[in-house]
Amino acid sequence: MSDATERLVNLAMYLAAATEPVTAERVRADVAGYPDDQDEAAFLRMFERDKDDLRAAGLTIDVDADGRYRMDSSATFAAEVSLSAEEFAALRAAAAALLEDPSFPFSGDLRFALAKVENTLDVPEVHASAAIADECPDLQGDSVARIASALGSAKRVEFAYTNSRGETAAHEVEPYGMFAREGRWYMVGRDTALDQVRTYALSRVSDLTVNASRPKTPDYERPDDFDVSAYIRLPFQFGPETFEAVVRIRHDIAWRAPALTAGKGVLAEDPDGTLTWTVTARDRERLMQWVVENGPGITVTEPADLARDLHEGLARVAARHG
Amino acid sequence: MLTLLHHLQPGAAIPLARLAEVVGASESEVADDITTLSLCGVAPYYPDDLVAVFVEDGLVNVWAPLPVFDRAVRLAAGEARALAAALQAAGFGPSHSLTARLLEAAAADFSADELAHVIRSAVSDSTGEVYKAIALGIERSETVRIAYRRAGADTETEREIEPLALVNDRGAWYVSAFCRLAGAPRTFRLDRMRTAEVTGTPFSRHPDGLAGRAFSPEGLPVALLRFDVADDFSERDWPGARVVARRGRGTDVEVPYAGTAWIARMVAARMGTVEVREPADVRAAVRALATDPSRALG
Repeated sequence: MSDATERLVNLAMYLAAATEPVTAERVRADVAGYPDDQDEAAFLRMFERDKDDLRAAGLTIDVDADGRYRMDSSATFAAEVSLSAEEFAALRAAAAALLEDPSFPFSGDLRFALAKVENTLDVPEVHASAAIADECPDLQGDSVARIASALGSAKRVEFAYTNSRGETAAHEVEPYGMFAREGRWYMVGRDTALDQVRTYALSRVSDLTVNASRPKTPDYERPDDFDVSAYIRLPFQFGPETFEAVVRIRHDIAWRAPALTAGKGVLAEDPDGTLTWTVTARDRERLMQWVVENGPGITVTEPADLARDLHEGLARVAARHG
Repeated sequence: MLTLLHHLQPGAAIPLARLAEVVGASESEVADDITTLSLCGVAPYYPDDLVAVFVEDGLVNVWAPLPVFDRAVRLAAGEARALAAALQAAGFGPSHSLTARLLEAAAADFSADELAHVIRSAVSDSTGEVYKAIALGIERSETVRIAYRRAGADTETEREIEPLALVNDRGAWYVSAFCRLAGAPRTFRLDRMRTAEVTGTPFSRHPDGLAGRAFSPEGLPVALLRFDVADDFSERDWPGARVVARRGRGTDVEVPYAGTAWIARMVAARMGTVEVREPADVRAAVRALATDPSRALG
């Protein structure tokens, strides 16, 4: 442990043990680790950095009107976490898997979070692994971590983006959100040149930089009603032609609906438990493919001509395998 | 180090290796940190004011209560975000009681719901309940009874499995297990489990590393498929597939498959642009499926 960390631990303990607010001068006199030969300005800069570091570790340090400091114990210490054995097992498994996944962007923070919420270090061995992103997981993990940081402080990012046609162009984007789907991380944000909210696959991003100027001053405001879920699409929701589809999900697989529909569209339940799912689609072929792949128990009723195409397509399959 | 202080309870003897694992550092780094921690404390820094720890024989020994910090510090904003994102990836969304209780106790000022509007590490939050049972079964080496619907299967089966490892592949969770119904190793996708319940029946973990077989195509039968248009083939849709020949605009591909129902459905879904060349039983399965729309669609 470095001298700096030793000083931070001493400062944290001093503030935790203090029975009344303390001045910076008292801190300098009482806490081991602040150099005696330091001038006042240098000490105050060091003290500011130390307080920022402790706050980043989870401590709540208040300052009163007289410039005195105190640690708010009720805000600093966690309440006892009461979880069942099943819940702790789930938490440990998810964390252990994602800690080793280079495409999970928050593994450093996750490690410390788990250490804080665990009641004991004497835990069973965990058998779990994860690969949220399978294309260039290290690259995607690095990009998504930096974009997450930019999101948190509302800083613009610049990058080169290579589209599916192999064309590369520079972009400046105000990141609004991120999501992972089918092995890839995506960023949603306002492209400043286009003045449009666009979705970018991070596996296609290179030379990413975050605006480093005035790091504590946000570059933009995310719209209050922004919801990244709206930008997550099912496989048949890409394409130029927008239409409304009605899909029936049989009662005995209705329990699969949350996973199948991913929160898209509107679900209505019949008295027998069958679900009617009304959802926006943009690709007829991909919708038919999705219905057959996820069946049995799923069929399209509208558009009527698409339902007819589905039956004709299956007839072609049968003929080809006759 | 502040993260760990609440674990340093009087009388504790914690393996150095365990602490190193928790903080993601080497044992020697943690040993150095613990030694320095023993010099930290509160003014006036008399012996009783210092953190009472020492390292001996690979153990971190705590011989007196800490002067302060005997409780866990709340999660910092980044830690709360990481925990919420990890839970969401495992199927516990912002409104799930596990997420809500955990964050309320450990990070009162953090809104998991707000985070979910900005960062989604999984598309669906629907697997949390079965995830809990599978995770506990693995930890305790106890069998789990599952109600499972295989890909493309007409009916659900109830199975007792010996869960060995949870595996996340491209956002979907699977459990690698020994299936007592099949009498063989199997991989089950969690979002195809309607229910999962720990039985309390212990099992012995297989020493030959069955858990590592989750996605191995080794030993699986292989079907030869012909794609009419080469661009229609993507290895991401056909795990473990291998292109064996290109024919004009099309291509021939060998695809390993664990279940006939799955591959028949995958082929039928391509609406006649993909043909099974071999084996005959898969070809027949595709024909049977496609000739009976009530079975294909339901």
